[in-house]
Amino acid sequence: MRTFLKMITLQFKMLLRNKALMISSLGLAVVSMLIFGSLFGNANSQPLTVGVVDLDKSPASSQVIAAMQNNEALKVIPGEQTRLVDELKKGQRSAVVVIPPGFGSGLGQSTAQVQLFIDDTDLIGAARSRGIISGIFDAVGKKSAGFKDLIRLDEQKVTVQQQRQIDVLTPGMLGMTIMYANLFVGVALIGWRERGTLKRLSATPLKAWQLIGSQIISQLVLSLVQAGLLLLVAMLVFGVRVELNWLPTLAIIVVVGTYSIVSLGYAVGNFVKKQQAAQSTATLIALPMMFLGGSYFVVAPPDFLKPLVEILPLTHLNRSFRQVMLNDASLSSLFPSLGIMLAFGTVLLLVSVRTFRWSK
Amino acid sequence: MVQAIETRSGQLAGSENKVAIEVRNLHRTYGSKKAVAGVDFVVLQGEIFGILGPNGAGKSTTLEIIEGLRQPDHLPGTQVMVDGLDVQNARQCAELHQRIGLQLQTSALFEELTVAENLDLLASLYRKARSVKGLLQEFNLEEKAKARLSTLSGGQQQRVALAAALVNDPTVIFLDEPTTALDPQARRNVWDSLRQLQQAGKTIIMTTHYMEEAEVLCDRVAIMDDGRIVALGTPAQLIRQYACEQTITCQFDRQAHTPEPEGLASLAAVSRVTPVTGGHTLYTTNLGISLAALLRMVESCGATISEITTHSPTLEDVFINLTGKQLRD
Repeated sequence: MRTFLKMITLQFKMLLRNKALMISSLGLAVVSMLIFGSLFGNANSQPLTVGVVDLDKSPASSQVIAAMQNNEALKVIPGEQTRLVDELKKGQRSAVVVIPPGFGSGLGQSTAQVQLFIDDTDLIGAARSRGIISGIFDAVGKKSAGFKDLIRLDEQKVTVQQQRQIDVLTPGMLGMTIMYANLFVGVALIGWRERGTLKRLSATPLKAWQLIGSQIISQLVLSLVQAGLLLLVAMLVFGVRVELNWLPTLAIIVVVGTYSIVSLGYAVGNFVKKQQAAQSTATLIALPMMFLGGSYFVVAPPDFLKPLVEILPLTHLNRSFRQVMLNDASLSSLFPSLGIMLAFGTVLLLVSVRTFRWSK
Repeated sequence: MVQAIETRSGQLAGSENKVAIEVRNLHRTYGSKKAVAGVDFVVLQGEIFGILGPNGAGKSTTLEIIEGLRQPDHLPGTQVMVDGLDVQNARQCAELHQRIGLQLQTSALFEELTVAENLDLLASLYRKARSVKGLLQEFNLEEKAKARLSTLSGGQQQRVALAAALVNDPTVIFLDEPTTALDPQARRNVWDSLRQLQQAGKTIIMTTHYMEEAEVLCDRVAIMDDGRIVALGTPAQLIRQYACEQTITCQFDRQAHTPEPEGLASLAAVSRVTPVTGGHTLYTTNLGISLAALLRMVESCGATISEITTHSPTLEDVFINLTGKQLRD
């Protein structure tokens, strides 16, 4: 056990020291999210569509609405409160302003208040709405009473349920990170075989299962850590919704997905002799699988490709992540995908164990 | 120093030393090729035993079978015992791996890990292990303890590999070309380390490409060719037995008279004469007598010697005579 724990620790250290691996797994995913997030996340040049509910119907409220309509950064849509807030929740509005009754009369007594509903998942959009709208109210207050900060903005945060590009991308990036972090285990193994490390270890009391087992466990730990980091980035930077009660299910997906990809990685390592060749083979598998498996966008493959796509572990990995993160799917509804990944991994692992060689 | 002489039939003579390694009727076939074709030898406890041979002679396969890394062909009478354990028995082989230390030609450790981490990892594999700190000290690696293996020089890596071979305080140590690619000073340091290990009672079995190394370090050597042992004995015995002829190479001043080859061949103890540029090489069974006779003849016939060298045989000559190959091919 002491041996096994030491092996796991040192294998994990080796993984962390493998810069190329870190960049291609976590780095690629974060960069992709930054690029795609800024391309599709918020259309900054587009005017913000803001719903306005005028319950006051005073000259003061008309003045405010006119000022908003004159602002080029805003597209004002007047309407009724429940409908507008609903639209905000669906992501069709950036913000909703509600001018309550008594706004006009309150203006004179410095008790004027306005409700502002904003989307708290779209940090940049929310900040823009908040800034522009409070600016307008400041201007109106100053003009009518000579003071800024006269109108108090009562901010209401609304969680938008709409699927944005980044929401669809994040689960795919989780899948891609796991693929890149684990597909290259075979390459490391071949390196050890080429340098005689495996042969040397086979003349020690170390058992093959201890070596392979510790490698698989360190890969699992790495994938769990990377998935956690990626979720954190998605949550904090892009406001992607991550529910606490998803985490156990997500962890199970990470573990099963890692297992299936690691097995594929070992298979590559056992059927290719040279480290260089294994590297290219793994890359050659990774690229098409990344697209066919739908890491960047959900694909609808032509019929002749469907059987292949449905076998690929990455397809099921991405699908499972999306099911949970976009549809709140329960663990039991993921059983088909998890089952295929487990079967895929077990078949390849058995083949790899049977063909495993300590030396060249 | 062990002076036991072993005959090819495997009888030990004149020694009370215990046997560390016993190999009987060892064969190993790959497909249709016989890599090892009937090898027998015994290594005594505390011996430094060398295996020499050209590439493809079967040295590595023989060593790997003794280390328990490969199985020999299953033939009646085949036996490989190391430290009293039968290598062909899985359980005894597992016990054997607790007791042996080995070093391969390549560093064969984890390049992504530091020196200390590598030794630490190996130490954790064994039932009992030496302190990593002590090993680092002994092999003068303390400064490099935190350096990744891939950043070390060849000599440093070799020292790490040697330290790694000793992590479990083994009774039998296997070394595959331990000084290849080392500069002369580093090589001598390794020799010193090996002699110290021998004094501590360890048995060492090694392969080498350097005849000089085998001559100064090994108590006995086996020369392998085509999967067989073609000669086995102490370096001095082998030289006496397989390369007894010494040579005198003599060049003459062309202006003066030059002795005839027939005359040179008739000199005392000279067995044959071959021509070289500007002179001749004399093969002799007694260097002193032949040299004196040659000088008398030169003086009497009025010739002048421009250059004269003598050569005593080494293991290299034994090797070339036996295998017809240069060792470093």
